[in-house]
Amino acid sequence: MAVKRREVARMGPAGQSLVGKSLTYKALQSIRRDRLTLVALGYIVILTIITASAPFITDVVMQVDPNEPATADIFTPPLTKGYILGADDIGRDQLARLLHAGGVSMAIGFFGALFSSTIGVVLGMITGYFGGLTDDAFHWIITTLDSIPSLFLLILLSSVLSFSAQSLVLVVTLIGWTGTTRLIRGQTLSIRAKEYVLAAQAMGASPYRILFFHILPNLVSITVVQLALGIAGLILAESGLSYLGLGVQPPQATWGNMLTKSFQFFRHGPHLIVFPILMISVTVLCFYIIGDGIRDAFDPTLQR
Amino acid sequence: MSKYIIRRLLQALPIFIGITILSYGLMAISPGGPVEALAFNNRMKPREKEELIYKLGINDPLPVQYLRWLLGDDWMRWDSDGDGLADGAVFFIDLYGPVLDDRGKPTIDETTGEALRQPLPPGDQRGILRGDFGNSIYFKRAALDVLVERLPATVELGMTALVVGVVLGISVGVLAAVNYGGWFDQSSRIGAVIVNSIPNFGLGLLLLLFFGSTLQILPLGGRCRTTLDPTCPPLPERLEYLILPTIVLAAGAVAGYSRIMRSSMLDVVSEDYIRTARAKGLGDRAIWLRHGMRNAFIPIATFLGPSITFLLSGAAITESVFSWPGVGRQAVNAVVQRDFPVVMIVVIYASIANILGYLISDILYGIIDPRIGYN
Amino acid sequence: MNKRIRITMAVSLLVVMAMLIAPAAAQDMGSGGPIIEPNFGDDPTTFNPIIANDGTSYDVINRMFPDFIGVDSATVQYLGGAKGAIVSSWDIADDGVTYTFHLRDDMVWSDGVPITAGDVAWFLDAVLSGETSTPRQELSNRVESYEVVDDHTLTIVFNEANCTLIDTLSPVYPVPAHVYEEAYGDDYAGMDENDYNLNPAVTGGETFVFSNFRPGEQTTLLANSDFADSELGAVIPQGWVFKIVTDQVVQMEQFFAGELSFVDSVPQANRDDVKARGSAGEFQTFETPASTIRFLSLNVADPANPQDGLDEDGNVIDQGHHPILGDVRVRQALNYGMNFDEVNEGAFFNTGVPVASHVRPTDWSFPAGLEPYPFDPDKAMALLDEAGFTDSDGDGVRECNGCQHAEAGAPLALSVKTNAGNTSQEALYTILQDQWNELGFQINLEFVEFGTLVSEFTAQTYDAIGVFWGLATPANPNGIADIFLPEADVVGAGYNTQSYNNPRLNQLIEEARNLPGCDIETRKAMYGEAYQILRDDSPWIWISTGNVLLAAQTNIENWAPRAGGSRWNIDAWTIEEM
Repeated sequence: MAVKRREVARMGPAGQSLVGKSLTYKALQSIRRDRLTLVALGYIVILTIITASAPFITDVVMQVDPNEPATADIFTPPLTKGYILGADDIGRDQLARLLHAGGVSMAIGFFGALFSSTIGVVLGMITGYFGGLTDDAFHWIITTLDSIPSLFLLILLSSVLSFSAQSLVLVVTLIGWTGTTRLIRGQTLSIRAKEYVLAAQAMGASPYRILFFHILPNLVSITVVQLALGIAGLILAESGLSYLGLGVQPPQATWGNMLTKSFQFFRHGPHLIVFPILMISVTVLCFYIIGDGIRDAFDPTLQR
Repeated sequence: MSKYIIRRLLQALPIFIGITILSYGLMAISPGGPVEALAFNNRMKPREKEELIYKLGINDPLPVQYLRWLLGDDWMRWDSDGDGLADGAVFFIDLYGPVLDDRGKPTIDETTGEALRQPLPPGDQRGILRGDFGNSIYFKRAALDVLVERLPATVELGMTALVVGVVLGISVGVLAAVNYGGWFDQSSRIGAVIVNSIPNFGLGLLLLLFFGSTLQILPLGGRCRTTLDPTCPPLPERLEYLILPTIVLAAGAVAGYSRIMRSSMLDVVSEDYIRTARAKGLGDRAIWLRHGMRNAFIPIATFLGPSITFLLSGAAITESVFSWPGVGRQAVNAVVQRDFPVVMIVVIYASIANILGYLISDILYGIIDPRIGYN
Repeated sequence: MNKRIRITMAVSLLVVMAMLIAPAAAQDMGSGGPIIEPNFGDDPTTFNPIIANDGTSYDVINRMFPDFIGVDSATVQYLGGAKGAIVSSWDIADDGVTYTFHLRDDMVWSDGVPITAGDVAWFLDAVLSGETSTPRQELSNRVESYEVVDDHTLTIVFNEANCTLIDTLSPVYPVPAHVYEEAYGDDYAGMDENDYNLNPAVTGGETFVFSNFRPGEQTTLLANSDFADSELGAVIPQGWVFKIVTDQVVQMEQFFAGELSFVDSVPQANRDDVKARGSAGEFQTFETPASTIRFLSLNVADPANPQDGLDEDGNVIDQGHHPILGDVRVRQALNYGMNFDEVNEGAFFNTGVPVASHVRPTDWSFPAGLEPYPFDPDKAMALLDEAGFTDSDGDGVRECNGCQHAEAGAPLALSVKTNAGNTSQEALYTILQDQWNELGFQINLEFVEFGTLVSEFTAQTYDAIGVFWGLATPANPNGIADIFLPEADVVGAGYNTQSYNNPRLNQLIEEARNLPGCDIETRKAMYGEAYQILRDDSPWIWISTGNVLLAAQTNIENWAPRAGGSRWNIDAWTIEEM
């Protein structure tokens, strides 16, 4: 009897993983056919590698200091005097600054989205699965937070904390987790009612086992989509906050504060506007495309 | 229906309280309090600064300050004999304050070695629940007035953007669905995503510089032509001032609505009753319009509430770029000036607008889709 | 009458009319079109001069209320009978504290009521009551009593004789007592909340009178038909609009597009462009010294344990020393290590002027021999060596090896903070950081939101903080010199946040302020010595002042800025159709 139960219990996850594998397999197949998503993915991977290794690239390969002013080279246009993307208002190398800035902007987007997704998944699963008082309490907190328009919440929080990249990650995490929690909670509720979960429950599987082996795998795709869209949203939010004077402060460059500052020099150096705005827009666009691509790939109704 | 609305509003009560606690807490712990920001002027003497601190009640513990803000302090410390100084106070706040010397320090009695004390002035706040949001620290007049003054401009721009966003979004979405897989479908989808990828302020400034400075065919921000008149002319006479901010503000809405409309139209046409209609020999156009549209509006209703909120609470960035005299811009100014009462009232206003937005959404939902009841 | 005659007659009539109108037009009130001035800030908070506390409000108030004592626009000195001011002359009694002011009798409010001594008294009543929120408490501290002798004579008695009493009176304005009495009564405490503040029914005595205020958009004034001091016999501009433009880039574009009449301070980034286009005849331009200086305040006392300068009995408190900046040689090294030319090019587009004190060359107390520190990195390094900061481990950063106040081995590291969101401040300190690091400093640069910066500044917990300081016009040498007195060293409140204390300086400043007879040459010599001490001791690093560039559209006739500003003859500006 004991043996049998173990077998059945094992069949649950096994059967599930079979379905999961085929779905994941199908999704991967579909992504492989989706050239646009692949290009976007490639761009993001390369950009991440380059920006993450920005200190190395600027130090060793380019041998420039992104924060070193050179007053003789103010507003040097691109492709002159050895400045590939030109120099800014105090003669700093724009390419080097864009790379360093990219590291910060991407990190804010990535870690902000990662942290808020993690909190969202954990809380969403727990509240969705167990319900009860915890669910009610979090429902109250979430609706409260959601009732304050996010820009105001962002403004409120950034006035409390100092304007650094780290605190901005904290701020966007504090704001961003509610959306994912809501979504994951809803998904968990619907999965909890599925037959294989009920079966596993009937067989005495522990709640944590069910959450981890039966429910979590089904949330992967939606979480990844949330993550991609979240990063895109946060990169835009970072630049918007910079414009309002509430973002990351220089000398730490970010794409947002570079773009903000550039507009006052648009008569001296249009290249100072063009490149930051391109970096932000193309990167955000790619994350949108990836998000869409993954959603489509995992959407069974679209697999024709 | 009215029962439903009342129930929904009651449900919103704890949320409202949560908002007040949260926003008050955040403001209270933020650095660089109102006194420092106000008093960075070398004419202000230390004593005056200290008096200001007592006057604004800044040294009280947080819960007391919250309570004072929520319910007022006229019942906390009162003056029954009318001499201008309080003669009674509830147990949790001080009736007496120190006598300050010229350097803002408490005066010490030479003989006893104790600090001299005198009654503080009585409380005169009524609290936000009684409609007293206090005076703006920067403007020195009712914070409520500061908000109310800015509302018309925000509503004007928000409503225009909402109408443009919904109408254009729905049209584009329907056309894209009809044109499924065709060039319009593809290009509208890509266009929507691209516009949404550009930072709002960047898009605004680029449009402004291009149409206002380079081409000189549109005004460079503002709400109407600058004249000596006490008011702006009626809206139809100054539409050119609305064009660019509306584009920036509606871009997101157009992208969002067209996307939802497109996919819900596609869902609807694959459903059985449409197939039945088609089988009955109805023309394509009739099917799209009569059967498709109505049902496809349902998801739109869901998004209408949040959009109303978003647009009514003012778009801080767009309003700043276009010198639009709205609520959002004032909110940002207030944060920078550490004008706490104004920040509070804007946050609370925006949150109430949000709660109402969702309510409107739900009601619309029911009107469009009769299957949904209010119970 | 045949057709030809009729045409000839009509034409000649038109010509005659045109001849009559054209010169007359320039003289008629309100014929000059509205002047549109940008407001790169928030709304004015009040139009009541008693409680006004921000520049924007004063910008409007100064257009529609007369000054008490005026300032001559050419010499930037207080002057009896100055344009748009009520005081025509004053006498000082032998006691040195009793001032008798003689007021003009030709000024009227917009409702026709004459402006009298009673109007000034109403202002003083309110301010000295101590019940208003007025920021002008300096008046209460100095004024002992005042008396309206007759409609055009007012005496003010001060509590001590000193040489800056006229400066004390600069924020005084006559207010329409008959209207204020009705609007505010004696409820001084409730003044802030009075609706009249933003709807002043009666203004006057200056170029314009109040018309309307649109929150978030603009404040509008109209030509004052009763203005007594107009250059051309009448106020020519039809009105004045103070219009909010929130984005600085957009503001300049509005000017280029002709939507603004003039700009009082062209942003540095646009200067070359505006100047070039000015020379090409596209705009009128004018350059004048700015009224702000930039400085870096150096905390000389222990930032870990901030204390006041004096105890309750006025004795000096020992506040310890800042481990690094406590040594005057380190402060001097920072000065010698500043390459101003590079800073000027990188941060100020070559528009900056180096300064050695907070006095402008145009001010009377400006000491001729006082020179800014020269750029001398060798000297700077020698000073650091001498102070016991050497780089023993060869990592490019000096450490304390036998220095005065820091622990042995501690790096020569300083945290420099300045206000965020100001492009030229950012550029300035980024360049300075680079220059000072060359000397062996390890400068940690932070751009901090202004409110937070002010908290740290007054809490005296910082190493070095860089901000702007706006200078009063006309200059009052004590205005800033007082900041370095120990009385101003109060944690959380005073402005001697660097905790600097030099007995000789204290004595000089005190004596120069209270010099009997107020002989200007003697005072100048005293201030000169004081500035020299401050420069050498360097509790601040005086960095720069600059020139501001003013620009106006070419169709504004009579736009002729002076040292005291561009608006002194705004009543004569004539805007012609382009």
